[in-house]
Amino acid sequence: MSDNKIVQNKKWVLRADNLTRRYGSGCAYCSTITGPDHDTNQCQICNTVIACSGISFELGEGETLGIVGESGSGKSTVMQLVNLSVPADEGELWYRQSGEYDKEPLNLLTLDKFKRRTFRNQQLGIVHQRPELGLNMNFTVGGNVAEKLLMAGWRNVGNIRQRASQLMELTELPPTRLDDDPHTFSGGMLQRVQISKALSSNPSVLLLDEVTTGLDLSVQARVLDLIKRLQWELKIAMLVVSHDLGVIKQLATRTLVLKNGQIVEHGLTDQILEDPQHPYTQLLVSSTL
Amino acid sequence: MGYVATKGGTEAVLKAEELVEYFRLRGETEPIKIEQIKSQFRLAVDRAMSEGSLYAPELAALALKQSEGDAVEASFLLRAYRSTLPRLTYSLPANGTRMRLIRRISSTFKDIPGGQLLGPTRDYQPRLLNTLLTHESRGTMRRFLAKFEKQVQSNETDEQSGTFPKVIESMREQDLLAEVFSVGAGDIDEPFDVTRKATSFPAPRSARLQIMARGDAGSLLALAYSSIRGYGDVHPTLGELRVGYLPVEVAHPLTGESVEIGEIMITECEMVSRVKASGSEEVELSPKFGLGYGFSFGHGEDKAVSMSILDRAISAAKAGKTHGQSGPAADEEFVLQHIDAIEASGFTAHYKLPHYVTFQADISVLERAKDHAAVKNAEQAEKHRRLQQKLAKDAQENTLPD
Amino acid sequence: MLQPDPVEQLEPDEGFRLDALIGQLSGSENEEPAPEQAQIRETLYNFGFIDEDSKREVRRKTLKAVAIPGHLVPFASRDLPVAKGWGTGGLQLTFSIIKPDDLLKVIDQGDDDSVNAVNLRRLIQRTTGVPITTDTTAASIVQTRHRVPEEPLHEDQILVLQVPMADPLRWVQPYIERSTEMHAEMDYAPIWVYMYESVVHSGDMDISSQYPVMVEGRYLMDTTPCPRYDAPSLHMSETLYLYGAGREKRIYAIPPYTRVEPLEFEDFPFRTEHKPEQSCEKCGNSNTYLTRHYIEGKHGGEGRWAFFCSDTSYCQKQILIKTGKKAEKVSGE
Repeated sequence: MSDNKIVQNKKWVLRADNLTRRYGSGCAYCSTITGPDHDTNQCQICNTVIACSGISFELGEGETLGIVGESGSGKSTVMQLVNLSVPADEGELWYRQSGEYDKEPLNLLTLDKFKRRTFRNQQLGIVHQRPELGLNMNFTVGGNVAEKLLMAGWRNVGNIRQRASQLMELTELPPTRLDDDPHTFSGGMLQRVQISKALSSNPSVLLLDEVTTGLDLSVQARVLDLIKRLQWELKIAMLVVSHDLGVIKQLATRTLVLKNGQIVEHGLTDQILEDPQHPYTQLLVSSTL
Repeated sequence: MGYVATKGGTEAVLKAEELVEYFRLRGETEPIKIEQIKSQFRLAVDRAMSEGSLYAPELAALALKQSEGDAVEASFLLRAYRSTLPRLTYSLPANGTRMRLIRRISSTFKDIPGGQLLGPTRDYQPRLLNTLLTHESRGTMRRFLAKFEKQVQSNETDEQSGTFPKVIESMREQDLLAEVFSVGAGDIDEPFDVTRKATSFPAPRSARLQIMARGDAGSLLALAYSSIRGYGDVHPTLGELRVGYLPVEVAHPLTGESVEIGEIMITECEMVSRVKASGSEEVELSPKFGLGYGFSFGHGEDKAVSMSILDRAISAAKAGKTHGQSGPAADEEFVLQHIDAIEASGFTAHYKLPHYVTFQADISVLERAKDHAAVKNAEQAEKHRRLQQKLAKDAQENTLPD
Repeated sequence: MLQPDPVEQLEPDEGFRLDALIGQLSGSENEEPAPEQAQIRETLYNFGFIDEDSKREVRRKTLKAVAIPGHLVPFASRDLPVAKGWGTGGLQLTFSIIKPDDLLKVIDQGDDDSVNAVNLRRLIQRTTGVPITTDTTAASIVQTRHRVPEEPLHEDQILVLQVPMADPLRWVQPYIERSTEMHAEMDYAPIWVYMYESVVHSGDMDISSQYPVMVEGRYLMDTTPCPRYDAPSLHMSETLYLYGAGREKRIYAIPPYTRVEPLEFEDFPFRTEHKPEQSCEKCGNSNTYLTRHYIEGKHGGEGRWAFFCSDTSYCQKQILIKTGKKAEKVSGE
């Protein structure tokens, strides 16, 4: 773990150590000629693309960590790694139940496919930028919200519907629309449906991947307000990925700045925005409207 | 009749068979000879062999006679027969350059090494029904053949081997063609045999080519058509289409030397199209053309051309190199699952089998769903009624003076 | 060098064999032979039609299927003289397990005399010489389409079921490449959502046949287009159930005493279509699966609809027991 962390958080629920993912075989030169200083992710010698490398962070209970960067920065890859949808080439990912800080943490990247699926279903919730990625548009809204419950073994339709209605109320959706076709919902409403679904298993970590990108500004604002309210009510740990510093500023207490697959700066969001150290961060901050 | 518990079913089946025979024979016309089908319906024979996956012109002709000209039925007969044949050996890899050609064209260049040979094609004939054919006799046949043979004798040159180099070879020499793998004996992995091992997806290319080579010409045509019409990102040019006699060789069981056991007529098509570079590719890698391959037993141009387009589309999609609209034709599993005539017709036709047990089950589920819908409709109606009442009341109250 | 599979030698004279088979298959059947009478089989073809190598592959795959109940095992399905989708999977299973001393019953919709059952039975008889029966309790192998026989089978009998579409996940995932992964990871949530949706839309599970079941709590399995009525007979049965999908090239199995549970919700439990108030007009039983039949009117009068047992041989037995007479055609009123 890097020593110049400003805040040491001993009560982490998620910890990443040197996560690395590459596309290609790799060679001896890869690490020396790729990265933010070389302005590229791709090794000129062996053509390997290093999507992300050396990613380390701790996510505290109830904390929201932001990950900001442009396309190619590796932020989506980090999300995929944390969501256990792709394997890591190097590094480790640890998990602890909140409150159980003295117990052995769980090594997530070594889980077998069944445990991985169960963990992803129970302890993680993910919201994607595009609703089609997180929802099945052929099922009703209720069916979508209920999917994780059904995966977890809920077998009573009455109870399932009740829980789904509660989850819809939580995200300010009208529960009377439980049986509606998702095509009749607007973009902002579909994001709320995704959030309801993600929260249905009472996960420890919520992953938000560019969730407001593409929405109208007023809709964005309302979804952000919802997320802030949920942060306050549920005190759930969140990982927020965005290219938009404005979103990060609203949601994240601490932030990682990614460029060409590596962390170039990290710390309290306010401090980074007020006094960015790395030239890239300075560029990002200055170009924020 | 059939489904009551007497022996009606068996009798019905036997009578149906007799009726089929009756319908075939009741015209009381001259029985068609196998030789006639083989020679005068050669394209139907070729198609039956191609989809029956068995190179046996006499049997294909017989199958067509038995099936009264139904191409799929004829292929079915051949496939079933093929299943009973012992597997003697595999041939040595055959190279299309060794074909004795009767037709060879390329759309890529106007002039190609060896020249363009139109060969026997209807492509440039106007499609007008020829009523003179109704009066064809042995005499007219003999006169035509005599005249034709005179031409052949007077045109005869010395060493026309009839073999030509491949157009794509000259493309390779000009460094235009993307390399796939080297083609030398022993370099090739054992080809996948779909008749001996179940295919899974993604499928190896040899499995893909085998499935398409035995596939239904019509299905391949429809899918290839969809691809070139816009539901696809492949813009092909016909590198070479050749039709001719391919020598088939096997390894001698004792000496291991190659022995030619005969010739088969085949159609081979090589389609080229631009391989689009994806965003992350090195600039040094110069763009090249990619190759799609099509093959058919006998003279089957539509099939070979369609197959080559699909092969190219699927290769491009699998390499992640399509950019525009893609469609079912680029989807390997979709294509390979739906182009086999015997499977497709068998399953589609199976709906003619009795399904009354499942239909009875469907009726009972429907009845329950109807009851549920009736209840829901009643609830809706009640809700509307109450809403209307309320609105009416509100309207009344609003018009009352304060 | 590529090696061909070692192979059974058959007669090399192509034309003769084909003529013979054609002659065989269009030859007329005289009387239905009595069960004890051994039929002289056609010696031009291998016993059980398909060659020994193919049988060996089917048997190996069947053993694997039995070892992993409910799991779909791919096999290289052969082309047969019967159309794909018309029972070639069941046929290949029967051909691979049948022995000369077996007693065979073939039914379709529960009926021995159904037209396709007739065709399949002829082919099996001609290429094995095995005697046939309509008596479910006497048969050692029963090949069936869309029904499980009413009389429970025992441990020395095998039921071979014909499967049109093998993968129960196809409603939510038509791509085999992805559904294979789902089965491997036990990712069955989409099917549960599908079941939930059907309850929402129609008030109950609207799956009428091919009801999905969980086998030993691990694999989701399709019960073939048998009605729901037949699904409970799979659970903890004495008999070996073998499922063959020829066109889809899959074999699966339920070995004896296997846990087979239809998908259901606590508040919407699995129900069969059985209506105890309905009974068969011929034998009077109300505890069998009934289907609707049209009876012609007598002397040009009005016809009508009536319910009969779908399992015809069982129905006939019941009539025999009750009246001591063989079944006659039921007359219209």
